[in-house]
Formats: sequence, structure tokens, C-alpha cells
Amino acid sequence: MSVFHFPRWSNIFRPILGITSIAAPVYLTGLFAFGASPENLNVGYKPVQPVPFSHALHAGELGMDCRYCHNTVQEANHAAIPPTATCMNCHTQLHKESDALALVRESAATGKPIQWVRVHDLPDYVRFDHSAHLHAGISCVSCHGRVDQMEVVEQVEPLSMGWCLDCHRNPEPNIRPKSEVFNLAWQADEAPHILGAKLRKEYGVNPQEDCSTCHR
Amino acid sequence: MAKAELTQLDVEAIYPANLIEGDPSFTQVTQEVAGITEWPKPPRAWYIAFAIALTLLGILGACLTYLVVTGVGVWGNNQPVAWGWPIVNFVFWVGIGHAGTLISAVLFLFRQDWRTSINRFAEAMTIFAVACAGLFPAVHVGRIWFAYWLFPIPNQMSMWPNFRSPLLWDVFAVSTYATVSLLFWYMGMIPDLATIRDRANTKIRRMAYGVFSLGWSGSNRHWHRYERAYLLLAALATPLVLSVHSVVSFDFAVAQTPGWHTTIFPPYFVAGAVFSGFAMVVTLMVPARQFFGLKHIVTMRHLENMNKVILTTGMIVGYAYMTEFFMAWYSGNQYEAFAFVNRAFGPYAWAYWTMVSCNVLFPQLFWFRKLRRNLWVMYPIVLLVNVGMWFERFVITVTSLSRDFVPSSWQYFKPTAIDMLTFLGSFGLFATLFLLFVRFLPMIAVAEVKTVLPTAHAHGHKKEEGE
Amino acid sequence: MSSLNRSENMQKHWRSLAELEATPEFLEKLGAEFEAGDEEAWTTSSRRRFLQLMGASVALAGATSCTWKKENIAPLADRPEGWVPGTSKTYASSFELGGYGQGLNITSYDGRPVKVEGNKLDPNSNGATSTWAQAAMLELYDPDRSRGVAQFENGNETESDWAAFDAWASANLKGAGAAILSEASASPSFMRMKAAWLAANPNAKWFTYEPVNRDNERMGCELAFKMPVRPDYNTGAAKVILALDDDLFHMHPAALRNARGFAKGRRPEDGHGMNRLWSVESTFSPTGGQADQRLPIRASQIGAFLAALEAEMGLSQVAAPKGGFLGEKKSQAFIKALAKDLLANKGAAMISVGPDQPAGVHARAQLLNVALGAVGHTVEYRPVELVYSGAGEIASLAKAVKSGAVKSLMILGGNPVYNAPADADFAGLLAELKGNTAHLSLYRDETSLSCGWHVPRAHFLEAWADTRGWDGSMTVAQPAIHPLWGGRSSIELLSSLIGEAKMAFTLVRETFSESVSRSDSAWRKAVHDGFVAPKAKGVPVTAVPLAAPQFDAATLQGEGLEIAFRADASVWDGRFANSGWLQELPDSMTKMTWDNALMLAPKTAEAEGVTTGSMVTITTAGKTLDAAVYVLPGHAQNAATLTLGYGRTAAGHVGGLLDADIRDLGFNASAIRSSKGMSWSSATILATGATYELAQTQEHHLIDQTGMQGREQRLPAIAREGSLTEFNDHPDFASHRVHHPANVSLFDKRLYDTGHKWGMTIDLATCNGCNGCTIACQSENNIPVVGKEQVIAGREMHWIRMDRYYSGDADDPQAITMPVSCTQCEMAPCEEVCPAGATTHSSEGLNDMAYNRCIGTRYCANNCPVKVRRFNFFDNTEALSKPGNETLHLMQNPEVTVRSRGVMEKCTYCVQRIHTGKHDARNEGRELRDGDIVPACAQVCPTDAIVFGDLNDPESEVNKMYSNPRNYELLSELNLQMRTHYLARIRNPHPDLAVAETADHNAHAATPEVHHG
Repeated sequence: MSVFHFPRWSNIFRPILGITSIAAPVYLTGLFAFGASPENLNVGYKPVQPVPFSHALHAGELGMDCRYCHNTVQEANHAAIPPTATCMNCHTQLHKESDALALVRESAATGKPIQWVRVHDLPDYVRFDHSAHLHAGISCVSCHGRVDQMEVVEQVEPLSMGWCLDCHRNPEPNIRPKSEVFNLAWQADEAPHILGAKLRKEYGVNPQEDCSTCHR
Repeated sequence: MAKAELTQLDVEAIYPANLIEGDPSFTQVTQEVAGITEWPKPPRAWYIAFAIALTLLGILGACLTYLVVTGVGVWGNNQPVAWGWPIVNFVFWVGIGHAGTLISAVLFLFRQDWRTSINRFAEAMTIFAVACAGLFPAVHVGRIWFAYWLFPIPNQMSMWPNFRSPLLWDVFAVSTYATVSLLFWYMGMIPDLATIRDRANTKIRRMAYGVFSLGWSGSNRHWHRYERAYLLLAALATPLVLSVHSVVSFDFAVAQTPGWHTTIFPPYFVAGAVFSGFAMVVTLMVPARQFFGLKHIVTMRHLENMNKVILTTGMIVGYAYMTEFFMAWYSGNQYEAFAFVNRAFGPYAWAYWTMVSCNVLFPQLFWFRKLRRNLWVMYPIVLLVNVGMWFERFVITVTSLSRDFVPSSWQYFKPTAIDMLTFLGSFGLFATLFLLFVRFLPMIAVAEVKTVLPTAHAHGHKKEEGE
Repeated sequence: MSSLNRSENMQKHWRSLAELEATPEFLEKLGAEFEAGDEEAWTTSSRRRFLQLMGASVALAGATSCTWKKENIAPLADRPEGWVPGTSKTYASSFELGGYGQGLNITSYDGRPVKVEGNKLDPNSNGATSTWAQAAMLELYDPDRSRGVAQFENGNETESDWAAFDAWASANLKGAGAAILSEASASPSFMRMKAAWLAANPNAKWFTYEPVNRDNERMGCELAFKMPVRPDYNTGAAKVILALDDDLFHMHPAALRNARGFAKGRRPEDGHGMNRLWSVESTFSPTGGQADQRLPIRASQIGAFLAALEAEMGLSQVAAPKGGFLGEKKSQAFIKALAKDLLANKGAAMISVGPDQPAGVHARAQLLNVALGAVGHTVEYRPVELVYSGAGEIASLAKAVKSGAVKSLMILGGNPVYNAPADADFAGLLAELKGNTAHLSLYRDETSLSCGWHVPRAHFLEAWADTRGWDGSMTVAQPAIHPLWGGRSSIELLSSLIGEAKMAFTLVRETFSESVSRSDSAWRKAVHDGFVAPKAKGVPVTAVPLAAPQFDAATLQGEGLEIAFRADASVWDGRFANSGWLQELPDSMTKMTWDNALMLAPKTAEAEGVTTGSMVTITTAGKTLDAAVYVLPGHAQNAATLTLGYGRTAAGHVGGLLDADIRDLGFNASAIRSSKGMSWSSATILATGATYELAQTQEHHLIDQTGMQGREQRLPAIAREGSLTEFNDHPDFASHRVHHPANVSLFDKRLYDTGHKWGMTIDLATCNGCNGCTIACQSENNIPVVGKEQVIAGREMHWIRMDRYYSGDADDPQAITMPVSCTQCEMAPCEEVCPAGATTHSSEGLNDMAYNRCIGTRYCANNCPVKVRRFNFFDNTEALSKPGNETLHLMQNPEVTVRSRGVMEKCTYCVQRIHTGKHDARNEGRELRDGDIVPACAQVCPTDAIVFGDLNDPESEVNKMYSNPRNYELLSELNLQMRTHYLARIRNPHPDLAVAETADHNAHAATPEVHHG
């Protein structure tokens, strides 16, 4: 009976095996760490909303202030989604018959809420305070992107913990004059981080990295 | 070294003729060891044992499933005894997993030839024990599905594990130890696997053993590299023998719980681990040599040597017990003093005295040559040592936690049936792996045993074609 | 146990009798303890679930993906003015228990009330609340609450509706033959509606029954003053307080105010001297635990004691009763010293009497108050609006039913089938009315099942109401939520019975206009404040001399066994039986949860051959009850106490529900409480030989000799206390209780010298163990209930553990209570060992706990020296996801993560409140002020024993407490740098009775390197 030996051609597997045994764990770890990161999973999330509300039209073209609808953003954690009544302030006059607005009219008539789909969804164990960020001179655009140019709102930042920490550790590039917080198109005249450093001092911005800052 | 210069004792110690009885030839040794894997059927005892082992393994599976589905509360853990049996079992198994590497690596470096008959066996035991040990810390956490957070993997949270935590050191220590032990065991087995491959008479056997023997041809170059690699691995593994249980002891020593927070723990744990490891080797070896007809390869002298190690380490452990008490008193720390008085005279005194008698008192019988060479005496003793070493971990973990600083939180710990079944089940895992090992792999390091046969050292080169 | 009798300057503590006395039973049990536990042991009590409302309300859509579940946002179609989603609002409300109201503030998120607080403006509450008021939140959302009108026939239930009930009511509850049995209520609107109903039905009858009432007190005052008044104490002005069988700080309707006033005189460093509390009582109450001098005697002997005291004081011509317990040296010395103390403090002394004492004792005590010049200083008399509501009312009702004068009966609240006197056979009485009965109730309880109709009651948080406080103040209660199940409040029901069917708001508003003010602004102020002060301060009284009391030898000797019935500190008269929070709240003294038990003195138990956990058959007046024994140190000899409210068979899924096969909890005292012995009666007990497992949070296990000694050695350093003399000699004696070498750390000390540095102090001198903090914390932090089996297993979840230690003689020990929660160590041992980094230190010195990072290695809990970390051994939120339990979601505090299984949790000084406080200050553009942030425990504390604040603020209250001489740090030798410090307790024993104490603080002087902890 012939003894089993590896045939000569199988030597080619040696380096392959060697490399795989080292590379596979690295690759799998990498795949796991980065492939499943919110950066790849969440950015670009763009759900269809029940009412085709265009931020590009309202906030962009018509130039409505963010706070017209999201009116609690400066005082509360939540930048409240506006009640149907806010829509009806205008739409009792404008586009009264539009099919797109059928749901809005129905909601206003019945008092039943419109079921908007949440775009920027943080886990329930995370607490994010809109007002605190605005008071520190952080603009809407830092997290939400150019909503004023979006037909349909989509997520542009990963909203991951690492991403939050990046800014908490180095907030300067995102700090702007409080007057420009709602001006999504605003560009700094000087380098953002230099201006940011000045403003940080002025506003007393001291972002914390304690667990309890966001998790309670 | 000229023989004339040696005393009779030296000769007995180093002359290999006494290690293997009956002066078998190389062929005979090969036939006897490799042949076991070729038996058409293992002995009936193997089947019975395997059935029991599989049943226990099934129980383990059921318990763990229940645990994962329901929660850690299925065990008896509570406040303040947040660590109960799972951690006791973990330390117990890690301890057992010490003998293998000690025998393979340390005794190898010290040129203790008697190790050759038992090292394969002990190494296998080590690996299976470490597998059982690894199981417990993994499943004892509250959210098993997040246990991977213990590994320093880059992640979206920008968070590392806490490198100051001894539990994290454990992760590294135990996984390193498992890896090196496995490598060591496997590498040592390659020549023997090749032997079995070469003797194979079915295609499946040939292929299976062929793949795992990695093309071993027994050439001079192979042997040369093998010896070098073996020596290197032995050198690498030796510090691990000390490190792994030292690190495990840090789990306790670094915490400030009275009864845990002592500097004696690392050496004490290592000695205890060697102690329990050898006891387990003897526990397994005695029936194995009986059933597989290896009594002349694993001789009474081997058993006796192991019993001597057990006696020695048992006394080190006993010394550690005394030192703990002394330090508790000498430190003047009332909490520490209470912890030890409580161990010996508190509600867990029964566990403490079980531990002391099993670990310190009974092994004293090994002072007598007759007794340490008597299977009927040594077997109960090593079994008691196994029990005693489990209780040592129980005493350390549970008694210390059950009564620490603030008396209003004191509480007696009661295990649940699941605790007991899980522990029993871990023996199922261990035994299953072990039984498969003795059935399919060479349980004696054939190639190494041959080096200590008289034939290998006979005057001149009386070579036999063993292969 | 000779060591316990050693007289040392440090007191020796022990915790339970099992430790103190190595009885054969317990030694046997010790041997048999390594037995298998029950792995299936957890219950389905009330559970919590992850929920956080964002925006308005959130509907979780079923879609799953790699990321979070798709969520919908459903904003209100029309948001009310000023409504900010996700922020809390606070409304004034009030709570009535047994006929007495207490002001509350209700915190509400997005229209759902989530937390009860005290109303700072109401002096009866002063910002604090009782445990019962805290638990109202769970009651409101209890899934077991009745959800609609039902008809019952022979226990078979048919769903019905309000229209059908109204039709039945208008046909049957009218004119002669109609009757109403109501709970006691002093609510002005309720009184008005009662009058209106009686006016509409002049021949109808009205009865009032309250199983725990204060009729005796009122009768006593009527005897003494010939007018219906009640004593209102000003404990703050009292230098000497004598509490006769009275749990003045816990079970009194003005307990919070009483406790607060008392606490004023417990801080010796304040400089205005210490008061002294004398307690003479049968059971060991928490008030007794606060006492400086305490004498345990049987409840029936209190009268004789009072007579002996009166004679000793020489204020009246009463002949002193002699013999029996009064002949004992100890009582004689006690009475002598007490008389001296009272006389020395005329005008600043007061005597209070427990509601279970007969009218005669009340009368004599009040006359004594007058004689001591207490009136106008420490006692005022308030007019009583309440009607009598004792067992006599049930007897009158029975008579009326039997005579045919009552043909139909409406029961407003209460649960008489369960808690009417045993000899009344109330269920039989209802059966005689053949279904012409209706019950208004929150639950379909025992009474509902025996009635023809059940109608759901609106919870007090669901309807407008008003109540009257003990001091006669009126409170206006706003609803915080619409009725969840369409219930009606009692005034709404009465209104519908007289055919008006007005809403509660209208009724309350009308009452206000009629009785307080017609002005709209006054109304608005009342609604805002929730409180209208009483018009008069107190009514003048004239003493009427009484005949001298007579006492027979049997009373004085204390022959036979006497069993006293008391309201339960958890479930009161059984009405809170379905509250998991209250059931699991450890009793202040016994540390028992989920049960009541027959409490016996150690010697009595020994004589009867029973011990804690033994089952006995109690026989009183022909009725029997099997109950478990709890041996309570300090209980009067030959006496027993059994609390009411247990053994409910139709309470709900928590408190016992026979129909669903859920066992009742504890033992039903009503079964042996007869109309002649509502307070106490003679009884015999006989051990059955069976045992019963009681779930205690402190004496989980038996303690052996070794443990005893270890504890004895260290406890003086843990719960530190001293006498007033000791304090006067060495104000900082507490910090000298422990000496140790200087602490050296391998780590650099973090300074926390900028920003905030949070700290807390807990004053053991004023903490009376009322448990308010424990339950407020539970409510605030979404802490789950785990069930009796899990408590037995040692897995209770309370973040604040109320430790109770006894010291001294088992027959007459002293007790000290010590709330322990996470002390936020700066050098936190838990943080070092967590491999996941789930618990870390914040820049403000908090020991943060990131629940969602925790993987549950439990290493932190092992390494916590004060053992305050709590682990979710099971999914404690499981039951919440069960259909039908949806309301419980609404109860969750959205500011606090609800923890999943396998996660460690603990106190973080209410970090959510800290952040809210900082947030509010920042958004208002101002600096944070001391007192802006109050953790739930500090807020609820009636005596302000818990103080929280910024240690970096030199003016903060907590900083002052830190420099208080009584300040000490627990386990300071471990160099933990705890942020929570304790203030030592000071006792003020009467000099004539005080045990000679040897103050020795020089022992350490020889060693130069000692540090004080």
C-alpha cells in the first residue's frame, strides 16, 4: 500500500495556507469592525415618507427657517416634528386640492397623526440634546447635512458613537457663530477650526466624554 | 559521561532501561501504541464511558441553552456572591490544564526522560481541560452575545476594553496558553501521526492521518527541524505555565475583597494548578493503561514519580494555606482576619476542611513508597485531590464574597441544580474529547518513548526498522 | 452571647435574633444549608420594558434590518400651546389615605404621569411623600385595574357598560331601601355630594367603614373636651415627646410633618439643643427605633402606664395602679425619669397616642397635654369633619339589611368583604341583598365579586378631586391623565346617582366656590398651589375631668397572649396589595418583603416553642388563622402583632388572584379580627410544626458565632452613633471611631477642582428608616420588581438599601437605620475591574454606569465594598412585553434607560436630574444654583436627612454637611474617597436612665501616623 504523502504540486498551498491563517482573522475582524459600522449601514438611509414633503422646496427655495416647523429645537432635547396644524397654516390656502397633501388634510380633519418615518434614529439608550448643541454653536448641518437641498431627507452622517466622540474630542471645526447656526449654507471666512477655537472660548463650550453625558 | 562515575541512584534516575518494562523493541512499542487506534473495536469499557460522556455533554448543551435563553439567574449566584460555580469551575479546569504543559515543556527542558510516557496524554488532557475552562468565563457573563467586546477590535464606538481589568488579562493569558498548548501537542504528535498513516490499511485512514501528519517523512532534515521546533516551543511554553495561572489568580488578588486581596496568590495558584493537574493525569492514566494494555510503557515508576510531584505540590499548597492565615493575622487587617477565621469556622467550614483534608492530609500517605506505588491507595487519593482542589476554588471564591465588608449584605450561597448539572456537563465535554483522543490518536508519544528505550542507547547502533 | 452585655463605649450591633441566639433549630438549619436551590424560581411580578418616547408618541414598526428597527414618528395633529414634546411638566395634586389628604406634585412627560413628588407648599407634605403616594404611579398603570363595568352573578362575570349600570342605579339606588357604604373621606366635594345624595333620598341610609381609622382618637377628644376635635402636633416645638403605642413618624396622617419637626431637634450641632423621644409601645415601630428611651409593653397596658405616669407627675388625683409590669424596676425608673422630663419641659412637651388605643387613653393623654401646657405650643386641636367609620357602622348596616330597611347597596371604594370584621360575615350580608349591590373600585376585588355590579373607579390621578389634610387644609387635585379605563371618581358617581352626572371638575369647582372663594384667581391659585391653608389655627378646648381609670390585675400582669392588629407599612389595609413596589419594599424593622407575619418577642417565641418561619395556628374568639412567626426583638412580651392587608384572594396578579391560580401573600388578619377586638384581642397560638419561608432583604441567611463576632467588631465603625454627652465632649467623635495608617495610592489623585464635584451626605440622626428614598428611587429609575423567590435568592434590585442594625439586649434593643446606595467612590474599585469599561468615572466625580456597554461579568459587584450594585439575573422587563400590560410602558421614566437582562445597575445620584438641571440652567443662561438639582431620594426625604450638592460650591448645603463634626466616611481605610458621607447618629438618653459611658479617645494618641476615617 502506498503511503499518503502530499504530492509536490500541493506545495503551492503552503504559502496560501500560511497567508490565509494570518490574513483571515484580520480580514474577518476588519469586515466585522468596518463593514458593519453605521458609516456603511446608515449613511444614505432615505426612507420614503408618507407625505412627499420636500425640504429642498420649503427650507431651500422658500427659505423657511428650520425653527418654523422644528420649533422646540432651541429649548428642548427634541427638535419636534411639527404637528399637522403647522402644515395647515399655509396649506389651507395653498395647494388645497393637491393629491400629495391628501394625508395632511385627512390628519387635520380627523386629528389622527401622520406616521412619518424616522430618519435619524439613535438607540433608545442614547440621549441627544438638540438645544445644548445649538447653544454651543453647532449647526444643524453638522449632523443633518444640507437638508435644504434634499428632496427626500437622508442620513448623511453615521451617527455612531465614534462619530459623536470625534466631535466631542475636537469640536472646533464644527463651532460657528450662534447667529449662523440655522444658516445651512454658511461658510466661515477663516479656517473653521481657528474660528471655532475662538468661539469655543467665547461660548464656554466644553463637551464632555463621560458615559453619563449620553447614557443614563 | 563515564558510567563508572555514577552512583547506583544516578543510574536509576537516568538510565532509561527502568522506564519501560520488558525491554520492548521499537516495533513492539509502535505496534502497542499505534495499534490501539487500529483496533477494529475499542474495549467495551470505552463504549460505556463514551455513552456516559455523550450524555453528560448533552446535559451541558441543554444547561447552556437554558442559560442563554433565560439568564444568569438559573445559577445560584446572587448579591453578594456574584461569582459562583461558573468561576469556581473555570479556575478548577484551568488548574487541571497545567500538568500537560508542565510535563511537556518544563520536564523536557530539565531532561526528565520519564515524561515521555505520559506527556502526550497530559498534553491532551491540558487542551481538553482548557477547552472546558474557556467555556465558563464565556458563558458566565450576563450578555454572552456581547462577550466579543472583551477583544480589542476596532469598532464604531471608538472604545477599547479596559486594559486595567484582570478579566481582560485573563482573556489574553488563557487564549495564549490554549494556542501554545495546542500547537505543542499537535507538533509533538506529527511523527506519530505519520507512523499511523504509514500503517494505515484503509484509504480514509491514510488520507486523514496523512493530512494531519503534514507530509512527515522521517527524514533527517525533518527530525532536525522537529527537534529544534520542539525545543523552542518548550521554551516558549514554560513561562506560560507560570503566567496563566498567575494571571487567573490576579482575578482575585487584584480585587480588594478580603480573602482575595493577597500577594501570595500567583505562586499559590500555580502550585495548586500543578497539584491538581498531576492528580488528574493519574486519575486518567490509571484506567487508560489498564484498558489499553500499556502498563509496561506507563509503569509504576511513572505513577510514582507523579505521586511524588503531587506530594510536593500538595505540601506547597498546604504551606500557602498556613501563610494565608499567618498574613491575615499579621497584617492586623480586621476584614482580612475575619475572612480567614470565617473560612475555617464560619458557615463554609465544611468546605474549608474538605479542602484541607483532601489537599494536605491525604496526600501525606504518599510519603510511604508502598502506598504511592499501590493503585488502590493512589487512586482514591488523586480523586480526593481533584475534589479538594475544586473546593479550594469554591472556598476562595464563595466564602470571601459571601461575607465581605458590610454585614447587612452578607448572604449564604446556594447552588442550583443547573449549577451542578453544568459542572457535571463540563466533565462530559472533557471526557468526550478525551475518549475520542484515546480512540483515534496515539496516546503515548511513540517517537519519544523510543528515545528512552534501551535499544536506543544500546552499545553501538542496534537499529531496528520500526517504521 | 455574653459579649453583647459588655458595656463599652462603642455599641455592639447585631441584626437578627438568629444571630444572637444559637438555637438548635438554626444550628440544624446551618448544617443542612448546602442544598440545591430552585432554578426555576422567579415570578411574573410587574416588569418594565425598554421605552423612550421621542417627539410625541412612537409606534415601533415591525420591520427589521441590520440597523435599528424602522420607527415611525407620529406628531400630534394639533399640539397644544406651550407643549414641548419630551419635556416634563409638574402638576399639583393630592392623595387621600384613610380619609386624610396630602399634597403632591405629579411629574408628567408627554401627557403621561411618571413620578409622584411631595408638594412643597403643603406643610403636610413639605416636598416629601409617603411610600404609598410614591406607589400610586404603579397603581395608576396597574394592568390588573378594572377596565369596565361588569355584572356578577354567583361569581360569574358578564361585561356590561355604564349605561346599563346607570339604568340599574336609577331604578334601585333611590329612596327608602337604598344605602351607600363608603370609605372615609374628608374631601369637601365628597361631603357635599354625600349631603346632596342624602337630600335627594331622605329615607336612604349612609354608612362609612374604614378598617384602619382614628375613631378612638376622636372619641377620646370628645370625652376630654366634649367637642369633635383631633390633636395636631407640632413636633418641631417639642423638647420632650412621649409616643404611646404610636408610630408617629410613619403611620400617622401627618407623619411626614411630624417626622420633619422631630428631626429639627436631632441635630445637636445646630445649637438649639436636642429633643428627647420616649416611646412606649407593644411592637417595635420605626418611631420606637428613633426613640431615646423606649419601653416595650403590651398594647392593653398602655392605659395603666399612663395612669401610673399621671400619678407620678402628680398633676391629677389619680391613684397609681400597682403591681404587674408597673412593679418592675425598669418600668418604675422609666416612669420616674419620664415624669421628671415632662414636668421639666412644660409647654414644650407632648404626648401622642396611637389610634388603636381606646378612647379613654386618648382622653387622659389629651388632658395631660393640656396640663403640661402643650396646647398652642406643641398641640393644637382641629375640628373633625370625618364621621365615625369603625366596626359599629358595619354592624348598623347588617342590622338594617336584616330588618329589610336596606334593599340595595352601593359600596363606594373600600373592600369590606375582605376587611370587615370577621364576625360580620359581610359576604353573607351582600348575598342577602341578592345582587342589588354595586361596588365602585379600582380593582375587581373580593367585594366586587360578591356584588351584583362592579363599576370601575377613576384613579386619583385621573380625576379632579379635593381632600383635607390633617391640619384642616384643603388640597385641590388636578388629574394628570384621562381615565385610562373610563372610570368615575366617587363624586362623579354620586353626581350621577342624583341625576346630575356632572364632571368631577365641575363638582370640585362648585365646592370651591361654595366653601372657599368665588374668585377665579383664588381658584387658579389653589389649582396651581394644590393647597389652601386652613382658616383657623386651632380651636380652643376646655378640659372635662374624667373618672379615674381602673385596671384589673390581669391587664397589669399581662397574662395570656394578646394579639394586636395594625395597618401594614407596605399594603396599609390591603388596598395596596397589588403593588409590586410596596410588596417588595422591605419593612423598616423586619426587612420582610411580600408577606406579613405574626411578630413575637424573642422570649415569647421561645416560650411558645416557635421561631422565625414557624407556622402557628392563632385562635381568637373562635376564629382561627394559620400564620408564620417572625421573631421581632424589642416586641412586648406575651404579645403578638399581625399587620392587616395580606391574604388577598382577588387583589390581582401581584397580590394574589385565586381565579388565576396565583397564591395569596401572607396571612389575612381580618379572618381573626372581630368587631370587639379591632385593635387587639386575647389569643392563643399553637405551633403546627410546619415552616414557611419569609423573604427578607437583610437576614437572608442565618448567622453563626463567627459571623456574629466579625460583625460585632466592625459595626460600630459602619453605623456610627454616640450619646449627646459624648457629642458634647467630642463633637467629632464619629471620625475617631476608626483609626488607620495614612492611605497611599499607586494612582495619581484626580482633583476635580474645576466644574462640579457632586457629593451627598446622609444624616443617620434624622433618618428614621421610612423607606421613602428606596421607593422614590425605584419610581424614578425604572427599577424592576423581582418577586419573592428572587428576594429569597438575594437578588432584590433596590438601589437604596435600608440597612437596619440592632444593638443591645434582645428584649429591649436599640435600632439604627442606614440607607446605603452607591457612594460614588473617587477611587472606585468597580471601575478598575470592569473589562468592558462599562463603569467609568465622570469628570464631575460620578461613578457612571453605561448600561448598554455592560456585558455582565459582575466583577464590579464583587469588588464593591458596600455591595450596592444590582444585577439583572433575569429579564426583569419580560412581563411588560406581554399583551395586556401595555400601560406599564407609560410608567417608565423616559430619562432613564430601562435595563435588559444580564446588565449591572446602580445609583448614579440621579444623573438624569443632574443633566436636566444643568441643561435648564444653561438654556436659561445662568449658573447652576445649590438646590437646583435634587435626586429622587433627597427630594422624598421628610427629614432632609439626604443632602446633595456641589462640593466645589463653598456655600452649598452639602459642603456645610461635610464640615459637620459628625461627618464620617464609610470604610475610609480602603481609600475609596467616597462622595457619599454619613453623619453620625446622636442619641439623647435621659440622664437618669443612661448607661454610664466611658469616653476613651486617647488610645490612638500614642501613634502619630493615624488618620481618622
